[in-house]
Amino acid sequence: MKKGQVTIFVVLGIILIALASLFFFARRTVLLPTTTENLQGELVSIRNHIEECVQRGKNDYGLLEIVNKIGKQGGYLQPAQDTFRLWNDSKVSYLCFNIPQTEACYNRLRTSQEIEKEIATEISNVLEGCLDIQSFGQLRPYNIQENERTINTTIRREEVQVTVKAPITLVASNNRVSLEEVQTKLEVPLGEILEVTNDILDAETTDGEFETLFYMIDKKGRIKIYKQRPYPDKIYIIKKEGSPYTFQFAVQGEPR
Amino acid sequence: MQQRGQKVKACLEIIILILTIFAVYNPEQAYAKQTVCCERTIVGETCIQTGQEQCNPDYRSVQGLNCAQTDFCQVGCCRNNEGNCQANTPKATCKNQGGIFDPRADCNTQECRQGCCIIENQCSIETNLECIGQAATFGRANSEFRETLSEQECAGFCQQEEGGCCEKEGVCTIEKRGDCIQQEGDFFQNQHCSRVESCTCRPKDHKRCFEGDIYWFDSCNNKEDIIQECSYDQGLTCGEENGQFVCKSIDCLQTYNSPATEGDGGLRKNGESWCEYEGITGSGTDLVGSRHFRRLCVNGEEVIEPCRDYREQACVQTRVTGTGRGTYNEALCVTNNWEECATTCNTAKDARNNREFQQKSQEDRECCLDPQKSCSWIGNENQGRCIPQVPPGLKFWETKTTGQVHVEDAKEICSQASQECTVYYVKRTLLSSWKCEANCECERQPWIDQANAYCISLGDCGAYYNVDGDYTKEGLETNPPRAPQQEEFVKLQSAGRGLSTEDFDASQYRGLDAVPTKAWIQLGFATLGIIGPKIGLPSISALLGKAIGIGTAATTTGTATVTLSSLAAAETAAPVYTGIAEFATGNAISAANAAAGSTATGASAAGTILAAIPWIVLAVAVFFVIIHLFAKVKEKHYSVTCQPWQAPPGGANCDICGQDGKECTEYRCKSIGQACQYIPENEGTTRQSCFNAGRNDTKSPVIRPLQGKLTEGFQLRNTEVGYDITPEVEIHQTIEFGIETDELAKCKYANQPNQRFDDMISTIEGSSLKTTHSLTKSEGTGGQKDIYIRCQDVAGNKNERDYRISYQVSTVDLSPPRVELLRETDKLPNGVDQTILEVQVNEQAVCRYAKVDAPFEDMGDPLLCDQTPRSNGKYICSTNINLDQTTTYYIRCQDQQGNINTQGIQKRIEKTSELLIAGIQPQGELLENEIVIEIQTTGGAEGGKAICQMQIQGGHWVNMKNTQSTVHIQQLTLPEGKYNIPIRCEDEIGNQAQREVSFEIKQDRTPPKIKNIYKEQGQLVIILNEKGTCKIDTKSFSYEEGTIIGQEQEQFIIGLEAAEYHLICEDAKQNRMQEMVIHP
Repeated sequence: MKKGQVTIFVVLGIILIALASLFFFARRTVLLPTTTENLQGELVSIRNHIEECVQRGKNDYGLLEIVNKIGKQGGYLQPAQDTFRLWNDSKVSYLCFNIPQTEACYNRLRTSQEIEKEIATEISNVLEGCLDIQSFGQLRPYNIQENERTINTTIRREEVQVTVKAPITLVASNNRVSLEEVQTKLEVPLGEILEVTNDILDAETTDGEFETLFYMIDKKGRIKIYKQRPYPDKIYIIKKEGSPYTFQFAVQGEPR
Repeated sequence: MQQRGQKVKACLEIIILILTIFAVYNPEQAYAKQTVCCERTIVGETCIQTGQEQCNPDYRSVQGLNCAQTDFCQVGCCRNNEGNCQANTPKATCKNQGGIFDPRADCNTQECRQGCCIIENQCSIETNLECIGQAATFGRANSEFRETLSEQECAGFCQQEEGGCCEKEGVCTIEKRGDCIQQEGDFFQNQHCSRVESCTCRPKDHKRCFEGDIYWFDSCNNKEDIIQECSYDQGLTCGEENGQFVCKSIDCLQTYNSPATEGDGGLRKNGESWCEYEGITGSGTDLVGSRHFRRLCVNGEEVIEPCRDYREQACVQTRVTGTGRGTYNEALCVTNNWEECATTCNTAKDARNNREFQQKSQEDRECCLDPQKSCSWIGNENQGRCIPQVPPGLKFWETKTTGQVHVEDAKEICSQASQECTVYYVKRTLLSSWKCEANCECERQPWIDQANAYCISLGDCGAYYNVDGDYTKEGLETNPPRAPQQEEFVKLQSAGRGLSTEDFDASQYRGLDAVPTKAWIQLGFATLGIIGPKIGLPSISALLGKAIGIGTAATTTGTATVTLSSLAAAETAAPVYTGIAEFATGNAISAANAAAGSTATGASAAGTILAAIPWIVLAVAVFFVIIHLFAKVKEKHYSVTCQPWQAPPGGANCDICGQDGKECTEYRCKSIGQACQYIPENEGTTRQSCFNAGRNDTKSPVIRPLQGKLTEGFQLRNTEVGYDITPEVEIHQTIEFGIETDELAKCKYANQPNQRFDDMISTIEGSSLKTTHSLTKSEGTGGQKDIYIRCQDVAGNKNERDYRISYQVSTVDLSPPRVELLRETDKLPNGVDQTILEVQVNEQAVCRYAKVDAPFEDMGDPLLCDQTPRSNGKYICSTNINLDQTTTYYIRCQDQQGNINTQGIQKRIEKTSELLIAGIQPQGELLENEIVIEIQTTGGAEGGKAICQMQIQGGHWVNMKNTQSTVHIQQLTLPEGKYNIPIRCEDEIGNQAQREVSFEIKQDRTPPKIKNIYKEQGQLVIILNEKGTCKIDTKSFSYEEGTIIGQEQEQFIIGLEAAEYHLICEDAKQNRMQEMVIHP
């Protein structure tokens, strides 16, 4: 056979393969059957996308990084002026301010509800830059309806739970499925550590001192509290056995 | 090319170094700048001490007070809706959170006390309110609250009602009943899942740890029976070893063995704590730069906790016995209350007479042994000295006060250990040699060593080591120069014995227990029964009397005798003989009288011989008198100046800071070298925090003349090697001159050329690191004077060539002595009648005083003058005087060349009246939270001018905001309540007064009232009893809908158009009066 004749067959083959590919692609997208199962499957992808955005954000800045930052900065993501001290490259917030010429300090009252709110706000910002729900509807035989999104964070003893209430509905010509909320968890004992923090602050606000050893022994060593004294303040670093998570905060002192 | 590259590299390094210095973050800025208390900041924070610009203008802010002292941020208990209580929480913060504020700061209320909350079979530690709230949340009506149960008891209470196996859709887990029911599962109380028919779990499938004990687990991973309880109290917990679960020891088997601490290292029990030191500690011996640490053993992990830096805390430990775990250590970091040890508890040295000295010694001892202080008494029951048990760390590198409350600079603290001593030599007769008769110990080495030990004990002062073993001696200046004995560092480094919680061991102290200072000089005369400081230098007569034979009875040999009583009389009242001639005359007369008195007998040949005896006696008496005529006393002055410790020059070792695993702090960094600079940004990191700022400095200081420091009337002329001073300086004239260096340096001088810097003894201004250095000189001999100066910078670079300052001193002394007063007028505190009249003379002289100015020869009362100059080159002349009213004294002196002052120097000593506090405001009942305390002072040294302090709520004494005058004002914002605020005032010379200001703040709950109402010029005038806002209408109305007629005022005017007006007024506290109808 001559070369030119062979070429025609090659070209035909390529066209056939391309058409076949296009057909299979269309079946999964534009020509996707809009059954409930298929639409639920699409919702799973959207759910995974939301979870991924919550956990990792766009540039690896997601829930884990946010909670870690909360831990390093004493419960604040953006410590305000005159409310923190620089230590070990972190802005460690004062949770108790010095009362001059006394040993005790006054409580700044950082509640877990406030921390939850701050995490929720930050997650919301992260999702703004990360989520792209509508892209899931491109080349699909359905529309995506999104409603207003709300984020709730709950700090529990052993975990931090983020609930993204994002009512999303996939509307096809003959079918519709909805996703109401997506829950993500991060296994850090932030709740339990915040309880320890309150115990420390109770002692610092009344006696001006907290005895770490007796407390740790009382907890059978499951909670470790490390006390540093960068002059003239104190820094408490709290960890739970079996978890790498660290929470640290400062107690303001005064030079003598 | 390579060289060029190296040059560029070097330039870059220098630029980076300079920029790094400027980039240093100063953590003290937060304390140095003016801050206010903001009720709310612009970012929404509450009760923050920050700059005014951060405060939200819609909320309150107060300057000059800490937030806890204001009304809006006063601390109390904050309770939220869930019953959660937080102590010491500011009011505004609590309200911002929507909580309920209770002024009782400790939350010791029924609602806030924690106890065991039992809901169904679940137990937790909550407050009563929280418990009720939780029960409601779970929809349970029944909850029980037991206040007396502890956390462990509470947990144990519910464990008895532990659940069972919960089976749901084939999945079997151990749950509590309540949880299982919630999940709609089947609950099998107190049964293992492996025993439940519908579960397929195999029993005792494997072992695992659970809460420190070893348990069986079934194949579904549910906990079953306990195999072995590992007693945590005995230091055991469940752990895996070689694939098996066993009870493992959680003791710390091998702990850090510090080379500086005795008795550490080895096994430590779980829960044990002990102290770690960096060298010798206690007894005033802690090394410069050192810190105390507390180590703990928790679950097999050794944890280190530093005590507060600058040794503001010390680690103390004790052995605990009689427990189930045998003997072990317990350690704590305790506050080092050192401040008052060397000041408030060392007042005896300022006593003016014997009785006061003894009384103050007793008070000092009681003060020192106060358990609230961290002091140690060195001495006995009658006299001694108080020192800190653990000397504090000081900012020895700073040369001025930082302006912070309660912070004194290191110089002031160290100077308390400076001593002066005068040694007296007596040459009894013409034939005898000079013999030391008083304060001889000041000439011996132990005195210098003890002075240095005392100096060290007050803080980072004196000649001592730092933690790294570098010894410097610039902190102790002696005149004449003598160095203290340097102890071996090895002994100090490894001598860190634990500080005990028992009484301080005074036998460890190696310092001074009786330093013959000016005040203690009489100790040399203790055997004479003359004890008591500040009665001036001893009289020559006393010295000579002692030399000749104190306490002996009067004899007839003609020996001049002095008895105890006569000495005592001489000290308190009689004029002091300063002239040997007078003394000799006096004694000759008494000897002659004694001799004459014994000639009353007489008669025979034996009588002749007997008759000749008086003549023989007379001859012998005259002989002794002549010999004693030449009796002399001379003095030698010694001084020890205790100064802040100086770090070694340079900074070669700066980077070792932190390498031992302990945090590198500014204090530690500065103790390593003078050129060491601290990087606060690296604090807490593993990066280098201490660097050598003088690393690239290889140049020695450049010395130049200091313009503007030269005494008026003189000029300087630059020379190749320094400068000359012209014209000629008069003998004994004081002249001041100086040099400046182009960088921080310390400088020394010598009278001989070509001495190395290290060999020079005389320092300029205590060898402080400065850029300007001045000298004051007064020469007693004429001729050419050359002063050779060399300097050294922080990097250790020294001048290799002298800088010479020369001047000519005249050889002829035609000037009378220059008499100087420290102050022209001295004031005595009210009630004090005795003081010292003291002047300073520029040359050796004889001085006299009188109440009326008269020629020198006619002035009868002498002052006792030094015979050798002090360390400043001056001679001190002084005497004790008693006065009952303000008196002016005139002093004149005569030098050795016979030059006499033709005019008397006036010294006025004033007696002052009592300082009184008058005119205290406010008093009685007040309706405002913002009050102004105002008091007036009268009397005292300056017509009432004083500094007044007040003590709020039992806290420390703080200066009133406007004080240092006769009127003292302080604004406060206080909550409702009764107040008795103590006030104390003191003027410049120590007159004191104390009063209390008492008032009660009540909440204004009464509405305004109409005080007066009348018509005037066709208008209606309404006057209220307080400021208010009033609204009116012509009919009955609600306040919000009325027409406003005035705001925050007391007087209102309305027209008379209507027949009837309805009026409602409200004050600033929103107290509103009832509607009033007015018929004009």
